[in-house]
Amino acid sequence: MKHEKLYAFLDYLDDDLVLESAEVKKRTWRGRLLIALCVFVILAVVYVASTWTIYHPPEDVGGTPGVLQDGAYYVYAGSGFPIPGQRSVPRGIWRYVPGEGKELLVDTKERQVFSIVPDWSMAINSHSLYYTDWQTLWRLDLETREETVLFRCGQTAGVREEENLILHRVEEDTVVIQRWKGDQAEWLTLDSRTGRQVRPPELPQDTVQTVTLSLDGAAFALVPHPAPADEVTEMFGDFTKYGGQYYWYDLQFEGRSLLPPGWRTDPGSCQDLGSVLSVGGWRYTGADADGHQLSERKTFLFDSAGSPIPFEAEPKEGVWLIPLAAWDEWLCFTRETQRPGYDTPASDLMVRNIETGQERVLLEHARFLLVITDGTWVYSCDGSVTGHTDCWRIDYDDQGGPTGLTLIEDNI
Amino acid sequence: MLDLEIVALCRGRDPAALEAMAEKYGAYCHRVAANVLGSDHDAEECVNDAYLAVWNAIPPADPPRLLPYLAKTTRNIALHRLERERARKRDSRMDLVLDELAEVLSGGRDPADEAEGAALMEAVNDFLRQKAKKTERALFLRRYFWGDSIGDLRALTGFSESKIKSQLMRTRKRLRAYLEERGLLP
Repeated sequence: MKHEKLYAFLDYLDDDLVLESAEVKKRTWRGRLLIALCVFVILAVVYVASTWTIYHPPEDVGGTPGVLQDGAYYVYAGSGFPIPGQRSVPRGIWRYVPGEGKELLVDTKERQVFSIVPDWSMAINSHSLYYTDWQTLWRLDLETREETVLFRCGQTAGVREEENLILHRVEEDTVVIQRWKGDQAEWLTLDSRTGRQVRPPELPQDTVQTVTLSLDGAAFALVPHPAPADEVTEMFGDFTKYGGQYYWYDLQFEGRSLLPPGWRTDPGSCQDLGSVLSVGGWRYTGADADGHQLSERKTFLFDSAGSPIPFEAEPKEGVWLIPLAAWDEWLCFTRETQRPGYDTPASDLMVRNIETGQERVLLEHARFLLVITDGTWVYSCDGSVTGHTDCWRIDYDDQGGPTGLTLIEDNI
Repeated sequence: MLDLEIVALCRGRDPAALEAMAEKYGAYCHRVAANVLGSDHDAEECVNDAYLAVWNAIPPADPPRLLPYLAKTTRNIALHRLERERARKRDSRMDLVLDELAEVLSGGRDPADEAEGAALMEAVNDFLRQKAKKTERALFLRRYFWGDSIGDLRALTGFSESKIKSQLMRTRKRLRAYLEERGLLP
């Protein structure tokens, strides 16, 4: 075919095809670099997100702290979404009994149960297990394994979306929940078996911040405070002023201050260790020669009567004491000792009789982060849903003093 | 400016249409002309001729889409200019490109008339639309309509030279078989 004819025939090429081919863009190294950068950013975002929120669940129960009741350990496990092909335990509340193993008690696959803060969403007493998805409170009868709804937000108001609840306290006959309507909170006390409200809702008082503490009668109360110096206000900044009078929140037990004068704390620095309350406190100590404002920090421990327990947690001569748990008159803590030539300190698990001051080593070379114990069993975990939990038994001597730990099962 | 507005300027005999065409489609037209002629200078003259040809053709012509119409006009003007210089530029790149395509479409003979040629090209359109993948189609049209060199196609697609050549050869073979099946080639 002559070229002239071919030219003419190529005019018959479809306009759409010509247009499509006109739009083919030249690929440049910049474009490829941009694509590679986008892929990298997406992978980085997925990695970070999976570390923070998508938690890849392990095959064991993970390392979220659970609760102990009558020798059995109850714990959330299997949070998050497994990677395709990855084995993992079903998401739910598990019950572990030493020597018997674990069983899935409540399958929460279809419920948005928030297991990261079990203190607010799971609790137990001798007859029931309570858990919530922030809007519904369920009760599982431990004997019959029957599940019932104890309370559901919006039942009376009909505005379920705007209401949330957290578990506040569980006792044998009552369950106290905190119900939020927008930014307004109220406390409801329910019958622990039927869910019936046993007394009218209690509105929070402006002058009291209630905290979830095992120490009955402990609360943060708003009390008058002398006008603080500017540097104190600058350093702590948590004073409230009404009508020319300064106030602050003081941790009190049965109406008296728990911390010595000048010491401050907040609800987030209080930790329930079982039979002992741990309080992280701080106070203003003045300025140094360069004008830097200084403060002192200290850990205070109180027994169930609100009496202080002598305990020097702060570093002293290269030794740190970190309180972990308590039962009866025994306080369990980690003792870390600085070692010359080593980056990390030596760490032992210790126990101290808070009445006599007698101390013993429970386990040498042990670095426990979280300990849950009832005095018979010890569960050590790292607080992470992808971490691990080990089960131990406490050994006692003839006088009833703990002498050591025996590992029953690791990675339960 | 929208194509409709440029066409309206042409109908109104407004010289602003020439500027609008140059601004919007100048790069496309220059490329197709330069690919055919192998010279930027010749391409520039050819493109200006094409704008004028389109401006003169509308009306009565009423192209539904301006770019294909302008590109085809530019291409034809460039090819005619090439023909005029054929004697001394017999081995130009465009000749080689057209030889490749002619081998597939002619089968050793010319279509008997315009109608036969139109039917042949309609089948080529069908093949490209229905049988060719998007990449195949792009390579084929960039090579045989726009006149891109293998080097241009490498830069455009990121493919290696051998891949582009073998891809084009496969497409030509498949196109030939397609046309033979329909009795359009001996």
